[in-house]
Amino acid sequence: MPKFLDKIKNKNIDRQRFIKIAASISAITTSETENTLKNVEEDTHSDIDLNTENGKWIPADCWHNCGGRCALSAYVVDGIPLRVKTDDTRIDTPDNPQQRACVRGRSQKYHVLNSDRLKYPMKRKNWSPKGGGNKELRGCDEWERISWDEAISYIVDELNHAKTNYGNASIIGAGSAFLNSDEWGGFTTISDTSSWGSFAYVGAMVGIPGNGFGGSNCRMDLRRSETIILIGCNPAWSALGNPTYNFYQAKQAGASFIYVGPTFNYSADTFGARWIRVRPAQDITLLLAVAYTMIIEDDPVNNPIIDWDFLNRCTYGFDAEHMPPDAELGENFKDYILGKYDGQPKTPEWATEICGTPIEDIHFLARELRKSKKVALLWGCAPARSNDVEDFPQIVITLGAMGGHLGKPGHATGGAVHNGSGNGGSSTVRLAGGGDIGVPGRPSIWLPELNAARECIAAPEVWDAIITGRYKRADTFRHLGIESIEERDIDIRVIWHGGNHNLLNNVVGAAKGIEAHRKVDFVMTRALFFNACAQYSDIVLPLTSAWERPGAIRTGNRDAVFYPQQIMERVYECKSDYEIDEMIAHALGMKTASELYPMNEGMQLFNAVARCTVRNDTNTGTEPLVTITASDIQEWRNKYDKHCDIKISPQKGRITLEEFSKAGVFQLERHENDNFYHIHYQEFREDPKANPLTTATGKIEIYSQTKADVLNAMGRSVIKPYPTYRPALHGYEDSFSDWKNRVKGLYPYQMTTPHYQKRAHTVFDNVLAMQKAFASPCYLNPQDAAEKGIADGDIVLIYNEYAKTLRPACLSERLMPGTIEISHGGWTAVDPNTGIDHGGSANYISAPIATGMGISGYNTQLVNFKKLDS
Amino acid sequence: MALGFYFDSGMCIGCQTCLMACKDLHLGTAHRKVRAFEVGTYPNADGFRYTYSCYHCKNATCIESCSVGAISRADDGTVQLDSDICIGCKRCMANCPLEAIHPAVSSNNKQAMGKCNSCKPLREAGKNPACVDACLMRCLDFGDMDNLIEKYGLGLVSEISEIPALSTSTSASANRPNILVKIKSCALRSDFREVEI
Repeated sequence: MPKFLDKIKNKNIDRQRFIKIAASISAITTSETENTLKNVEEDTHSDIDLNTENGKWIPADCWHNCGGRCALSAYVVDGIPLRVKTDDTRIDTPDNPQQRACVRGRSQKYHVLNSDRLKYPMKRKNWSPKGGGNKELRGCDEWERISWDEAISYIVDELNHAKTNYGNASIIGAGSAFLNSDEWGGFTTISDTSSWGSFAYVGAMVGIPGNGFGGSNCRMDLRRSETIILIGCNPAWSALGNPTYNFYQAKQAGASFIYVGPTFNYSADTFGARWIRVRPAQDITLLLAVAYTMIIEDDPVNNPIIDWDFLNRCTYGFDAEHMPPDAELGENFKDYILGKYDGQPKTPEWATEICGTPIEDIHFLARELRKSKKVALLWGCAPARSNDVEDFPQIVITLGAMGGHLGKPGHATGGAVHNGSGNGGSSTVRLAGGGDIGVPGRPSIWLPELNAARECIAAPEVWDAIITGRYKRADTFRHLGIESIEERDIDIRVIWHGGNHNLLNNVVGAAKGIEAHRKVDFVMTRALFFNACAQYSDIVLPLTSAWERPGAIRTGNRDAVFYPQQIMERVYECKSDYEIDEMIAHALGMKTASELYPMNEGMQLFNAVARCTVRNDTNTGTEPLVTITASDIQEWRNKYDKHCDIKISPQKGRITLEEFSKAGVFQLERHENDNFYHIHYQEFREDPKANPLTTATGKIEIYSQTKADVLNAMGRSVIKPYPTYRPALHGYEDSFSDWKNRVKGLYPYQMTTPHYQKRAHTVFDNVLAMQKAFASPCYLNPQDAAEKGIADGDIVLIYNEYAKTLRPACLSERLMPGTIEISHGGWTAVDPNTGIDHGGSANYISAPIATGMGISGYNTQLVNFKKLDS
Repeated sequence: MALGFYFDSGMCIGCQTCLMACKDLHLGTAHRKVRAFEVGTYPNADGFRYTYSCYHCKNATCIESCSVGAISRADDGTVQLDSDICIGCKRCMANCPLEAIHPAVSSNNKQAMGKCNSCKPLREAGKNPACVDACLMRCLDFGDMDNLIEKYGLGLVSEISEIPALSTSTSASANRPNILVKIKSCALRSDFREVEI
């Protein structure tokens, strides 16, 4: 019997209350003896009044990679979380808003107490060690409960077997520090452009920070903008928490909004934006024509549009007079736009037929970007998550530079992405050294240059690499250098799902991914739930949720830092990632195990709390956030580890540890015209020589030799040093079998996969309360649907040459004809008889192909669809 | 004096955080609904969301429809349902123009109806209804109707029939709902379609 339940049952509490509390975890108790995966219909927990003295509010974690960072608390009675609430630690004002949790945070209780939780280590019935047994049965085999000792012993044997016989590179995966240690010798990593798309590499080459997440100004400065242009950006869906509210303050302050994208989304209608429609992955085409219009219409005296001073001082490559010193090609952006090299001026008339944007909208956008207007030109990364869009970061910063919209109040060119959406700049309160855990000295598990195996596969090619044994080591130039780019053999024997990536959902081409999983000798997954990775594994380990761990420091939201703490005891036999890795490292007999895992999670947390910093009042430096006393140190040692060699001394901070524990959040006070504004590129604009950017020349590179050299060396595509029009693989042009005569192909619809309110990537998809609230339909343009005889609610089969999936239809006039949306993160759930996915997993039917720099091109997928059974 | 909700339909992003906060507090049943609508056709489509729970009407037909006296007007003017008295006959549900009353799990686990109680216990403890303090866009509020009008200005609508998408066969307006809505202009159009979120 799990300790958690013993504790409840041994409590001497009155019968009626016990029934009420027990009911709240009925999901767990009733399914204790079986591994069936049934959903609970909500909870039926007690109605204990919120003001009762029986329980306690404890700051609770909301730990997902969601596009927010907010405050949550759980009301805990006798160790059982019964309710949640959000930030009530301050009066809520636009300048100092409460950090309110979204619908996902609000359903965290249903997530943590879900009956789907994995409970014990399990082994696939027909798996056998060192070879894999009947591998075809992966995904549809039966499961056997095993002990932790057995599980660790199997895992250690498989890791040693693979390393000894096939080398470290035969293990692929992520998430475990010991695998990346010198002593173990590394493993093959997967490099995924994931959320960043082409910004992942190209951003820094052209002058954009933070893989495309940075570059914009803070929320307070946003209110100074006259026009806010959002390209492929939908915070109302992809960045819940405060981002949309922050944008709304700019609307209240008088800014007008323009939205550029294939769907007139919720953000666009909430901000009253003018919609400039553009087909998926055609943003570059559109923006080239905008540049053309700006160049043609600009007249420095009578109609000044272009900020020539800024271009002259701060950029390279705009025209022949401003070429960077390292340029090898005698071509420049302006002459390309005017058609000097290919005979095709990039006119609105040329662009409109390809990108679908009306000519008058192209003119409008160009005129809005004029230098006299305070413009915030902000992007989401969705347009960059497409095939062949390496030039998107460069064209967008080129337009920003042409209008001079960088480095001045009210002017911005940058990302509006994730929890920095609408609030650019590094956090004013944060964990020193970054990261959420705070253990110093552990080897990075991400950087391949630190990885002795030195094998790194681009995510879209990973399944093929496993199946064929060949791959192109090309995407890792950031760390390995161009000289590492080559075709190589690879013999993957072990897939290690040790991170939080849920690869069979989040990597393109999951249909092929399943085939790859059935090829290797051993697959391990640790997870909270029986997700697709777990389903196709041999050994599955149950993870604790963050609510069952000592706590965490969460950063990322510019204004606040969060200190959630343990809410409940662990359920069943679950363990944390850290505990599991530590066990394996010791079982492997690693000499460095105690260096890799130097302290338990309680002491890690203490370390992280002590290392929180806050900007000082003049914003000239940081100071410790939390006061730590000698008795605090003693208390934590007593609680978690008396012998821990933790190097923390008493310190004076802004708040006491007790205050921080109680509130769970610390937020820096802001007011208009305070010291904490962030105007990105301000110093650079004032003196570009003294404040160089990340580019080779230090200036914004409208011509980037680095970009061309590095990307062309990869051999997938031919790319100019300046941004150009290139038809994308599986883009609009490819939707025709005969582009010249405009004859449509077999898969004529462009599918995109927007982030969705229901999920943080794949997280929460299995939570019944969320399933009830969100329909997860496929959105279709009514005209397209009518041609197929599809009405609202019909079940639609969406298919292409790779796979098939099902979704209910929702007809929406917001979509451009010829496009279809399936929201990102639906769980892969394949019917073994038909091969059809029932979970609406967009990546199940996406193509496992990389272009250019190896982008995961989620938003360039071609499909066809029909009514099921028609 | 009458208590009621305020809602700005132009700000709502349809995220359903209000609904989940309601569900969390009310035994796993959400008494609040969030609906999404579109108007117009491509490329001139527009959209709005609407969230509502019981309007705590001045002329609450649910009260008279209840044969066992389970629904009554509370001292603060809100309409309250006592699940201990309720026999779950659903007559109130049929008499509510909003369908804001529905079967729900009650505290004593009996079959009963449930509805928004405007978080009366929370309000008595000096707080707002859970949905109000949950809203990411701050587009919900609750309070004395006169005070809300003062706070949010003129042009607020209580006659829900002015929003064609929300007109039902039974007119809510006849019940004189205690609701103030700041209407997004596109919500006044009659070419609406309800869409899934």
